[in-house]
Amino acid sequence: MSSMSGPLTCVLVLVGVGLHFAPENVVTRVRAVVADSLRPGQLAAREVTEFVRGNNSSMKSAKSDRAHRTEVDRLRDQLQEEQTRTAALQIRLAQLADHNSRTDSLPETIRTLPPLVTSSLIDAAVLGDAVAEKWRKGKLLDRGQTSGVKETELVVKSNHALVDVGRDGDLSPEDGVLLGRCVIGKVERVGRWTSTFLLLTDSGYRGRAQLVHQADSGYVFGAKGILEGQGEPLCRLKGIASSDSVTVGDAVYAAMREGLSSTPLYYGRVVEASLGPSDSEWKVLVEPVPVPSDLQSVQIMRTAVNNERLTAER
Amino acid sequence: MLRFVGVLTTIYVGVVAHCSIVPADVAGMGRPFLPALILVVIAAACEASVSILLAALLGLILDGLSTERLGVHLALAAMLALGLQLVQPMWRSRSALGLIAMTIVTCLAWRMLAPMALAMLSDRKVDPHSLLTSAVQDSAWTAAVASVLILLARGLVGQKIQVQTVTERSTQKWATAR
Repeated sequence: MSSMSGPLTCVLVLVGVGLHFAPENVVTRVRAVVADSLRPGQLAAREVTEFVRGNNSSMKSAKSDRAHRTEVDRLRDQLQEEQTRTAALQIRLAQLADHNSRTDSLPETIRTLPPLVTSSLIDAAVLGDAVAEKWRKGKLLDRGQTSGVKETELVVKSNHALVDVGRDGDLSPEDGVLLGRCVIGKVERVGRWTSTFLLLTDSGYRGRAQLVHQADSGYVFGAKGILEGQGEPLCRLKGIASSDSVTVGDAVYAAMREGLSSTPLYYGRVVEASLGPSDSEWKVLVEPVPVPSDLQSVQIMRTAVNNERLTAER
Repeated sequence: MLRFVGVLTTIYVGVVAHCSIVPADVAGMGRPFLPALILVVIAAACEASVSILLAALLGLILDGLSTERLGVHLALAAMLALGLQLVQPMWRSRSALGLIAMTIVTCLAWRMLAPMALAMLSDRKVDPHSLLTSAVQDSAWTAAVASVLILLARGLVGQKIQVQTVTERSTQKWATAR
């Protein structure tokens, strides 16, 4: 072993310590360079994996197996569509009730203005997993700055079919695309051609959330809080005051910022809600939408200022 | 030069395979941790200081791909590479078994130390028992991958794999020349 090895290792350890305390822009740049440079290899690996999978499935072409698999796939798709439709209708009812109560007091000129921000979905392929510990399971996507992706944008589960809820005059145009969609994470870091996203369950995930519960009169919006990932299968909903009501089974949606109203997206449902005698807020556990282990593609909800609205205001 | 390019290619392919092809730990059964295997390959193929530098590069790539703060994998990889060089006479026993044994040890150390360091730096608690369990599982998987690769290589080359450092080879050449 050369005599240089010891000092060299010391220097490298110091570099590591230095990088640990490096400013955020340096961290972001390093991550972006690493992720972008691995992209060609990851795309090739994805192609190879898909090719092998395709070959494997064609080799195991026993008819009964195929028929069963097709049936299971069909039923799974049907179930997913039904779940999406239910979530869409649930939020639509709550939204209409809320919308009616708000807009009744607004002047006609404001009511007819187009939304300030519009949303659109872009497809993204999952390139692989980030090198993460148990408490985090970040994933890499093949979309980055060049596709207009920005940090903290929501990542939603990719569905085969869009939910057709029709064009209701009270809903914004993008609602048809977004209604019933399930949030599975949010974009964490963005490179030029790639980005990483955190799952809802990952430690470090935080997002504004709102309860929707079923009352006698239908679905109504409830209290707002912060949904936090804990590195475990269940997420925690914080900030729900003891004066608010929470019941097991309530739906949890992503709360959008006031004034930039868009369609809320589904997070999951409340599976545990407890309140101690001296507690000032509820302890709420939320079961998020399950994410398949072989997640291949997702959609990123991209938001942009609506030019139509700006023109209308001029 | 060709060797250096080969090692760089190994790092690239290994990291890509680790992130994109190796299945995720679904049911808590562990998954191969290929960076440990790459580190042993680097240590076997390069001179001490070069292997430490390349190990640091591997660590930096892992840091870039991780969701935590940078630096931990870089420092750990450099220290593990130094450790591998220090115990070199023990594991360079000219057999594939030495490679596999070192892969297990490296993987155990990496999978134990990295989460502990990260948890300590971010004020998070880790359960040592579950950490050890997952590290053992990951090591077993990694050793299995190493065994398969060695068998494949043996099949391709048609002879026993011998681990020989650049230094050893140059010493031999020098002795032959004399």
